[in-house]
Amino acid sequence: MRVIVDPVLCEGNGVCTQVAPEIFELGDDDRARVLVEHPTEARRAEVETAVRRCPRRAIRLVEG
Amino acid sequence: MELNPFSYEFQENPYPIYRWLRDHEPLHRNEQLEFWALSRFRDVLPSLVDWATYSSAEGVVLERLDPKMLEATPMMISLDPPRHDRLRKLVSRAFTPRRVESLEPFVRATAIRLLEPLVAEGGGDFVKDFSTPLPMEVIFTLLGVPDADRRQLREWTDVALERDPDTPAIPARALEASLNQMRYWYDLIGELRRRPNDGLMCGLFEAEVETDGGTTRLSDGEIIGFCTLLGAAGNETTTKLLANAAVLFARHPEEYRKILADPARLSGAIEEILRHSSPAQYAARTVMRDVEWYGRTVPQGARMLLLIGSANRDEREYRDPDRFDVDRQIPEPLGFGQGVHYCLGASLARLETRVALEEFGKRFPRYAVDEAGCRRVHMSNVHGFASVPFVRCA
Ligand code: HEM
Ligand code: SF4
Repeated sequence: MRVIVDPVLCEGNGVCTQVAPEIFELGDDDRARVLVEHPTEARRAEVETAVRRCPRRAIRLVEG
Repeated sequence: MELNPFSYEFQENPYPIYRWLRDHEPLHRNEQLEFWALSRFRDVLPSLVDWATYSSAEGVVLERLDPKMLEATPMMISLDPPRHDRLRKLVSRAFTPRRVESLEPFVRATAIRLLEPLVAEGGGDFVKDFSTPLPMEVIFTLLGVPDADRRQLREWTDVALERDPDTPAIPARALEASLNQMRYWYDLIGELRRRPNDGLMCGLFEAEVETDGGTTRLSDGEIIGFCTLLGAAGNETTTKLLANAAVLFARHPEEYRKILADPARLSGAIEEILRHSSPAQYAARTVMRDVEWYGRTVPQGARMLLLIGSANRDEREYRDPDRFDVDRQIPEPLGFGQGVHYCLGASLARLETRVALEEFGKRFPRYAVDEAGCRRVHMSNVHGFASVPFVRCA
């Protein structure tokens, strides 16, 4: 799986960085950055929670 | 059983009614007040997120707001996407964790300044002397409100939200306070347009909003909407959360000792206070299409209450939900809402609460609350205290 953040949609509220601090980080531009673009399956639940909890729907999870 | 959010008895302790609703009428209908309500965690959460079905456009409290007022001073909290997103985008960068962290020294200095007289007196009123002025100084400083006007403006915010017992009718004093507030913002906007300061409000004068055709500047009405919303949301709920914390810790000294001994546990404790005693007890919505719940149809146009306060105590989600446990894991917090309307001030509220409780804890490691002297506020969806007298203990 691959994790993508849309920098235009992202408002930098840090919900994802709280849910999955090892996958996301907030940059100096107040936008979320993906630290681990291809996380292992073990991280799937965390990433899915971040996708669902993102208030801006700025995170996408693509298979493959 | 009946759910009446305006009942003072209900406001005193809503939890037995919530439990009954979850067990017996997970979809509740109040014929007289003409609303429906969902009370289980697993029903409230997806509905909060589904803004297309559950619209905020008629306001997020049960009482009927004047549609002309809603349109005259539009606020993101009572708009659906895409208009909601266009307004939210203009201010969201001011409330990111990084921006909020930069406020920490100011928040801490303000907390210490407010606590000093309480230390000298050996106690005071937690709400009047501490949990009201702290968020007030923070949000009004951010907005650029002159010092001299803050107390009056804060008082109008309280009165504007006060409700009489049992009735959704908005009292005359509340309407008057809302109007006074609006007039105040209107005048301040005029003054700041002439003599700008570095507050958030002046940033809004220059902001460009997307429209379907291009971009425009914000109208005065829209700026008043921002100020009213940030003023109310930034003050009311944080004041309530802090005082709920003071009462909870006084009732559970063993939990208080845990956070004093290990301040790293405070952040988790704040999430538990938000869960156990949510300042925002519900979010009201308008149903945009017929929806089925528990074999009944809720018709399009109906008002639906999403009972956050009940969902947070749902035994289907939390073990022993009435217990206050600072180490509880809360994978799905609801206290700040979820979805597109997720609280814009969540990082700020968390910071203010953490700093306030850290500084309070240093000065009052043991204290007692005069429970008989506590008074509650009587607002529609904001629950908490108007007064919490406390004294330091040896
Ligand atoms: C402990 C304190 C707070 C609590 C419990 C709280 C709770 C909430 C909740 C539940 C919502 C969602 C309402 C809905 O879905 O209809 C919300 C929205 C909002 N809150 Fe807070 N809030 C708090 C503090 C603050 C602060 C300090 C600010 C200051 C900036 C703030 C600004 C807002 C705004 C602007 C919205 C509307 C967001 C939108 O519609 O997109 N809140 N808050
Ligand atoms: S949760 Fe969404 S909006 Fe918030 S920082 Fe992460 S990607 Fe950005």
